[in-house]
Amino acid sequence: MRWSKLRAGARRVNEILLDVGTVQNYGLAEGTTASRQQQATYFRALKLGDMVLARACATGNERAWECFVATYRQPLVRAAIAITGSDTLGRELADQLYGELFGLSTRDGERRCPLQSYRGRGSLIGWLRTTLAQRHVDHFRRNHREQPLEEYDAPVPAHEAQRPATELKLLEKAVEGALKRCDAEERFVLAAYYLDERTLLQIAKVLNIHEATASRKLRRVCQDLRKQVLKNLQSLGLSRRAADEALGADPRDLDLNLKKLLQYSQSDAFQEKAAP
Amino acid sequence: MNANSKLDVHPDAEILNAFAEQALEERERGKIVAHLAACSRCRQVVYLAQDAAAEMVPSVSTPAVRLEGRRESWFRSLRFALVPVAALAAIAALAYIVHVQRTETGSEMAKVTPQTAPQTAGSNSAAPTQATGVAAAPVSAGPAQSEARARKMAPAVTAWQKEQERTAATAEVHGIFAKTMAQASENESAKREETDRIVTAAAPQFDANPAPPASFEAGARPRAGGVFAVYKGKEGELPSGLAVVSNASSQHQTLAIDKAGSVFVREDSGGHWDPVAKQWTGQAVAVRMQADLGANRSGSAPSPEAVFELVNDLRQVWVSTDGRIWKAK
Repeated sequence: MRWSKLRAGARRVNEILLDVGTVQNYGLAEGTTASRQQQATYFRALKLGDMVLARACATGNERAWECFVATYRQPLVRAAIAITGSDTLGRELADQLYGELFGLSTRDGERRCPLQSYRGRGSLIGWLRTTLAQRHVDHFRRNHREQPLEEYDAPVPAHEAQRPATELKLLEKAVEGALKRCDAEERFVLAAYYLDERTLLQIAKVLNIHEATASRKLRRVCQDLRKQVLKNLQSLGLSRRAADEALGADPRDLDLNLKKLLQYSQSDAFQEKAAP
Repeated sequence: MNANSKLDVHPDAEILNAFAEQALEERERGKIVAHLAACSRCRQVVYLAQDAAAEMVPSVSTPAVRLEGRRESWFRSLRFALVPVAALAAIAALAYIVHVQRTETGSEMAKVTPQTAPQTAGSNSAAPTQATGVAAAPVSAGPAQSEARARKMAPAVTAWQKEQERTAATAEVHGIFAKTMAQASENESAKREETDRIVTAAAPQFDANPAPPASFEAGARPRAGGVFAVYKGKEGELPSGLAVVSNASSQHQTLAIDKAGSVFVREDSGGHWDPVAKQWTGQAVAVRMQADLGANRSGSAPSPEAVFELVNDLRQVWVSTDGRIWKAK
């Protein structure tokens, strides 16, 4: 009896693993057929223990929930507090997610548990943290939209353009062309440093590189960008000297949306849609 | 789908977390970096998750320990097995060290043996004039050191006795050396003290002494006999690297036979050994000086025209005046 239960459980785990691997195509590009070795590599990288616990919780196994609460309840609250920067907001966020995980929400009359979407890639605690962060960011952005823009946008100082409009247009084109030539990592470094105002250490952590490497990368990207802008300006008809002078223009005179430019090469779709 | 609309689709929490935990392959990673470069929302999510992880370092380890339970239990069982393995390794290492120390002591004794071996009365042509190495020290050493070394030498002397017995057996083959070696054994204890000192002895009556594995120089110091051999206490001085089993010296030449039966000749006291072409049958086992024998028997100095005699293992004798060209006797 017990043996047959074990066999049934093993069969179920096998089914889940196959399902997970198939859904993500073993981490390969769509249309690619995974070899046995690639499949094995994918399966080895999975956090099997976490996945089994998550699936057991999603199906409402009581013992699994006991284990989950004992292991993750407190870390979940602490992570939420760290993310929101507020004890009250943090606990509220954690409770909200906890309720969702417990399956309080239903869709089409069916109990819905976000743990079902966890497939063992990365740790479960990491998944919980990232989920909390997503909820928080989405919540903040929703509320942000409802607030008046004046509170957030710094007033643009009134000043007169010092340079002719044609020259500024050329500069805008040159900058746009130079940014388009950057690869994904370079654009990420630029966005993280100049748009998000993140420190080099934070950027380095995300890219899993040393802080000094991040610094060198940023410096090199800026140098390359400058060279490329100069080159573009010259190719647009400016002399070397005029191109150099054009680079001295006040950035506020430029009608450039760096955010949009950095989004230029976005091409891949992902599985989850952003929260409304 | 334009660039902006694609940003409405974000990687899910699992993929972002796997990216943050460096659990993605290169292709997926590049894809996420490209998305992050364009999507401030996902960048913020990653930053926040990372900040939270940094603040939760102690608690993060809790599930990790639990989740890696299988691996840890395996390691834990191995950890217990490591204790006896480590103990066995320590015992083996200790045994090896003791063995090596003993071996080194034995080899040291073996090295000392020829230096400490007393010279026989009858083979004093090979008497040492200068002791080197360990044996040389006691000349200036204190009594305590001498005593300690004497204790250390006891097994060495025993080894030397065995060596002497072996060589004595060789001498018996020739008949001539038996008496000499017997005398050497008898006088061994009396002459033990002299082994550390530089000893110069008069030329032997019969220079075909069964030499210990030591080198020697001839004519180091002329005396009444005019023929001297000086033991240097070094092994392997012959070009063959083998120990000397027999040697004989005249005023200007020294002949030596190594264990392989090869004969070497050396001019004067220094220089190098020249191999002598084989002109005899069988294996050379001894070399001696006919002239010395005659001189000593008559009690006079050896004649300048010394004649070397070479004996093979069939007890046949060859003679030579220069040690290089031999004729059957």
